[in-house]
Amino acid sequence: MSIANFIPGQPILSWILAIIGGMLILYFIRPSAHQLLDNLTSLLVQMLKLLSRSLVLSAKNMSVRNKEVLLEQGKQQAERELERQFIRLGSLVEKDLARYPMVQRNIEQNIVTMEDKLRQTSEVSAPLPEWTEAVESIAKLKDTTKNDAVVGKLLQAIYEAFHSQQKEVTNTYKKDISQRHSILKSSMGHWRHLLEKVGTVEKHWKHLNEQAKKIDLQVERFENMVQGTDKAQRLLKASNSTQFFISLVVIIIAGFGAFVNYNLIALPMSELMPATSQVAGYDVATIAAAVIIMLELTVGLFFMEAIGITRLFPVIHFMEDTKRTIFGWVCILFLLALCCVEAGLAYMREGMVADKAMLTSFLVAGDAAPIAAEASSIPMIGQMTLGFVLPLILMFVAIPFESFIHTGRHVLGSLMVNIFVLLSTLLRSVSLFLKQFTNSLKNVYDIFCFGPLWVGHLIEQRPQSSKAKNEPFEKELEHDAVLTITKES
Amino acid sequence: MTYLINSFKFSILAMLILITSACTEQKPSTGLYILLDTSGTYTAELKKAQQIIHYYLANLGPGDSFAVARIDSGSFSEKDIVAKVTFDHRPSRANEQKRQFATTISEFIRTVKSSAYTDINGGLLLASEYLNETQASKKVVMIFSDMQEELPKGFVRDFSLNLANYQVVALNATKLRSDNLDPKKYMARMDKWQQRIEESGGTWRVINDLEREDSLAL
Repeated sequence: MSIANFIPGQPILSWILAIIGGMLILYFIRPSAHQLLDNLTSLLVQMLKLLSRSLVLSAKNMSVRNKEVLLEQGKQQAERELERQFIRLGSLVEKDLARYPMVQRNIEQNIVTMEDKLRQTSEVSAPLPEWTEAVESIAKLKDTTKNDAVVGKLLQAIYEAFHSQQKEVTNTYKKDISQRHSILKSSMGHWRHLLEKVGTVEKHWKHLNEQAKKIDLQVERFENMVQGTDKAQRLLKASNSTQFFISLVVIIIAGFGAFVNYNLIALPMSELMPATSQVAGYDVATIAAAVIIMLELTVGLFFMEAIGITRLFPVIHFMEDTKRTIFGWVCILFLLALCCVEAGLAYMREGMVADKAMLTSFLVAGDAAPIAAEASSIPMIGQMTLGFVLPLILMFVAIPFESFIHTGRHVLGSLMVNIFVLLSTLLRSVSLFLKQFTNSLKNVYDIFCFGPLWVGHLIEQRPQSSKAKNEPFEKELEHDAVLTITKES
Repeated sequence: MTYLINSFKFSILAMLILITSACTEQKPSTGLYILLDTSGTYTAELKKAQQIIHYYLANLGPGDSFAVARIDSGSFSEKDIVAKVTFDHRPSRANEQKRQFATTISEFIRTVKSSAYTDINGGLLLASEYLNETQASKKVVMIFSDMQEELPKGFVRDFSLNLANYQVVALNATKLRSDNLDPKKYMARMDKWQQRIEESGGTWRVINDLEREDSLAL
């Protein structure tokens, strides 16, 4: 039965009645409907708020954990750097101190030699003979015995002897001085040597001082890490993000290298593995090629760990030195074996490509196919070299990989924190939207039952207006009563 | 305790090996059977068929099966199979097989003699038997013929074929002189074959332009 037939033959009236009936029903169930909407909204909003709060809490916890991890990593790194600096300083001191007695002996020898030479220069030659006084006495004779020829001759002889003697003494003196000068000159070399030695010592001390300053800086950094200061955290964050992106770029480049390597050996692997089998839709041969590359990477990783460049596996890192050396040798031998396998596969690939080309040529031209000219061996040599060298190059990916793993933990953590905060904000927004949406729904509901509501409102208004009219009168009565009571009192 | 841990490790390893071996599956292979019409003047077209065979030889890979048979007066006979091969899983060996196959086909085309009749249904039955044996995941029968069946006296070919999951392709279905006079004959002939193949569960296709590589793709 349709609504238009409520009152037979009166469709409009039937519709009006139906609408009025509907409005009345909506009006009577209005409080319950509003309550239901409120309850549902409240439930959803509470759930969203709870979720949002839990996300914020998780973000906070994660942030704290991130900070701890970051500082711990920073501490480890600082420890490693400090350790390296101490080792460097130790070796420097050991080297210099080992040489120091020799330098000291050398300096002492030089000093002794110079002292000897100085002593040699301080030796004074014999003074002039004392017969000059005798000459003076004889000279006085000249005054008393004038015109005495004998005296004159004697004096002349003395004079000549004196001159010759003086000349001889002067020559001796000059020779002596010259000798002293040459001794002093020869001591210049010792001075220079001494200066050089002292200069070397000074240089070493300067170097030591620089190392000490570096260590001071490292220690200060380490202290900051231990104290967990904001500065240290900021520095670590910046450093971590940079390291993460650098290592990511290097890993991507290495990925391309691995891809080239894969293509080099995928075809010849079909000669070794059953080409008619598949795993998860991929040929076993191609999977085997990928496995070989992964094995090379793993062995390379172990080798880098064994020689102490990376610290990804504590078991290897804390091995005894002898065992670790043996392990390193084993790894490099395996890696070289795999390199040889790859070179062999690259050789095989070239043969297969040539065979395929010959077959195609035969199928196209039949027996009249031209005999292929002897191909250049350069591509084959190039492929074999690539096959041998690429695994060795890929081995070095262990370094950025370690960096990626260490820094990725923090970068991923930070990303998660941001996502959690964003989600929490979104959930809050949704809860606000739900609240407003419920209010709007209530208003829309009220529009559908506006008639009864309006009537109800009018009815509600009437007693209120009569009450409002009576209110001043009642107040006046009250006021009179109060006045009467006051007067009576 | 150590024993338990070792046992646990070993069982994990064993499980991994089992899972890996269970995951290994056979690569989908293709089975191709080409029927060559050697009746009447159609033998002149066989050079084209050789090119088609070479094309498929170049494209089929390890694990695929390939056979070429002739359609003559009575084609339901193993003697009519010119060459058949399932390519080895090693590409080098497969290439060698392809060379031998191509040589056999070349020899056949050089020495083929025309037959008086054309037993296409017999050839189709033989093809379906062969391809069922190969267990190829994709089965294709190509009929290099004008599709005009002519049977000798006494030959009955009203059997039902089971060609479910088969692709049947008519290659180079040339028009006969009578088709030129009345093209309806040609269309009726083609419709009849299409109906027969589709009733047998297979799909039907006609390729007349052999230069288009994409239409030849399996």
